[in-house]
Amino acid sequence: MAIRIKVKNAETGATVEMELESENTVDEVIESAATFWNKDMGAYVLRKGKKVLRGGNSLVDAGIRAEDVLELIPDPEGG
Amino acid sequence: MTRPRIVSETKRSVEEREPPGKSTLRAHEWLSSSSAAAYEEKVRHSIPFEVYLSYRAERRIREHAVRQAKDTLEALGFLLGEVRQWQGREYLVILGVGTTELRSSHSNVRFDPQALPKLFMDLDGSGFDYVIVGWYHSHPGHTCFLSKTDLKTQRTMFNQPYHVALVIDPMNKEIKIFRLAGNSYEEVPFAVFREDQVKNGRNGKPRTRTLKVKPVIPT
Repeated sequence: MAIRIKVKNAETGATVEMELESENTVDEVIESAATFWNKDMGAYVLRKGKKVLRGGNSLVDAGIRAEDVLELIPDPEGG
Repeated sequence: MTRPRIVSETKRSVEEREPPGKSTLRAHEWLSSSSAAAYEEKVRHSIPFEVYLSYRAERRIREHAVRQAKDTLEALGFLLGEVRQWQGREYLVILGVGTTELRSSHSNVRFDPQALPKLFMDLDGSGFDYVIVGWYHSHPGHTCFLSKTDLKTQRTMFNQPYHVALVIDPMNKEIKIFRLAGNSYEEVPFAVFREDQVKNGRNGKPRTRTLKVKPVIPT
């Protein structure tokens, strides 16, 4: 069954509404959002509240439900 | 199984708001002579700054960098703020920072992956609807510039016109803000401002903003 969630781009404040299935993975959510916003998916993590969502987990395993708002957070490196 | 499909995008609107007034501004004490001259030039000719850094954010960044420098380690964090416009010109206001425990050496720094929940707590505790408008990190004893690693981070994650990178050297007491410029980067003059004198909306409450929804046509 398809559900809809929102993903916020923390660097711009923009939000996308995304339609997906419970079998989709966290990586697929990151990839879709990163592709839409022209980002390198490897440079980001996805969070739900204070929890980091791990890549290979399905939405069910990650505890993502309809209407959840997730946030795409950059993972910078300084030198 | 179908892949996730993006149905619509809601972009954040840019608020029309007067920049912090002249009486609330000061130059950072750690500006180099050339950076201080650029600051004075703007103030003398009443040219608005493109970046305003709040006292509170400045203090947290400086104290973090000084703390880390005791062990010759780099500091790192996000710059939290808002993009605003006034009379057709966009400017950036940095109101807070977000950080957590780090994996840091004298020449490299990242967030500790195990400490990301603490970072998220810091973001949620910022007290406003933040945008990550850039990042800060320190170069303990190395002066302020963007290294190859820094430039890669800037190009990959902070490539909007308003995104900035703040670099602070607590040992040489130097601070600079940079942004991308073509294939390289440039310094951006900035002012430190006192938030308590910045006008909010009616009755001193923060102003609200409207959101514009842009439908996305599926391909």
